[in-house]
Amino acid sequence: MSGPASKLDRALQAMGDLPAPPPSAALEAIVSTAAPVARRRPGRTLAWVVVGSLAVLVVHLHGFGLRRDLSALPTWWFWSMAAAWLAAYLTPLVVALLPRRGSMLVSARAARAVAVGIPILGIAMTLWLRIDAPPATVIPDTVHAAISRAEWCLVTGLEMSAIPFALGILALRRAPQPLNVRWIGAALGAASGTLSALMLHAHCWFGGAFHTAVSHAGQAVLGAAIGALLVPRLMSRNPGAPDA
Amino acid sequence: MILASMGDELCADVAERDTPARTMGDDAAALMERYCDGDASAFRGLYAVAAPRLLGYLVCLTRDRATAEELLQQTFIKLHQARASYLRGADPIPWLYTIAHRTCLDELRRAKRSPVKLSREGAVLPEASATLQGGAEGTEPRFAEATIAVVLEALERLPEIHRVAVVLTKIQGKTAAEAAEILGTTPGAVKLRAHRGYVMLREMLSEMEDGS
Repeated sequence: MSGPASKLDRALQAMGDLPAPPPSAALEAIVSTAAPVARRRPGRTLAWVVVGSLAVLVVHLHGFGLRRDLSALPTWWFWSMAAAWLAAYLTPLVVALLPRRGSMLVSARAARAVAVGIPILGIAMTLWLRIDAPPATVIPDTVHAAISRAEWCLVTGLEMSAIPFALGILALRRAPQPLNVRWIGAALGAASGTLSALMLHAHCWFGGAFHTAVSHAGQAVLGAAIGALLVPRLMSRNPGAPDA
Repeated sequence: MILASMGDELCADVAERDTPARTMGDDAAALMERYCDGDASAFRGLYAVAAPRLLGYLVCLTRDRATAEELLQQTFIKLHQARASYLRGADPIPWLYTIAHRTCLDELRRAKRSPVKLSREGAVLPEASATLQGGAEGTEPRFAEATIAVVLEALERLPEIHRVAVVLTKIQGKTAAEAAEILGTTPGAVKLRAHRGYVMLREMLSEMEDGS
């Protein structure tokens, strides 16, 4: 029970609780008029974000059309991959927007797991489970053609994911958040990116490992990076926290 | 020899203070439920449960008892304003810590914008001192207060991420998982930051001890 360490421990522990003053008159006055309030429903918010994002997906697919090589591809593969991308969209979104039962705040640990894991899984899935059906599926034969098409997919994917990302930000801003939202932002970005990957899977008839891994599945990586960078800045004034 | 003889005085405080965190969270959840349903008396119960810990946290962040007390009131006003965000059955304590921390950051930003305090006549006022018990000015502080002031001074010199981790785990008694929930990071990161912060703190205090 001696030595600087144990003494420091005791000093630190003694600083935990301090006799607090009673609530101020202003606080008492505010509280005395408190009426029952309607509670936040994160499940409902999540549902709105999903519905809004899927509507954006449908509008884009309606505009761009389904992939031209669809008839040459196995139907089971097309729909299985679409379902996998949909699950890859929903998983990080649920983690980013729904706190665990008994908790007010989203788990950053789970957010980190999905923000890192989902893009990696997406790329691995694209590489290992890819099916091309040339000549219906176009495999770029020159570097220029590959880059040109990759650019179109990346830009279009980013444009498409902007609205789902914005919807997610709006949902995040309505909820209390932990002090650091970087991983939650990354999870939200990964979700938006995987939705773009789903759209590109359904629309883009260009194949090849490079194109699908970078331009399609790479949307999840890009989204996670953008989310990790942007969300902490966008959430710095978070009314739900509340610090406004 | 600041650290050499402080142990005994603090032992009794520590032994009396420790309450299981889970019970605190359960109580707070039940009180917050009632408060959201319009029961003002539940707010007073919640205040009684959470305010001492939050005040300790805010004093560690601000090093000034009076500022911390003001921030404590603001924290609960913000809790009142945001009570609709509360989820049924959830422990509100981690949320309260985040509100308190953000309120403190706002205050620090405001203070940065006007770093020099002036009297009505325009004279520069001295910095507020770091007293924990709120004793009258000019009185000799108790030994424990002097020690804690030294620890607070050392804490202030720690990098932000290490300081908050030390305050939450070593001072507030949170587990790594609870602190991680508040900070928005992983329990592993909290353990690492708290350990590094604790080692730095110990070295600083040893230097201070040697210096005195």
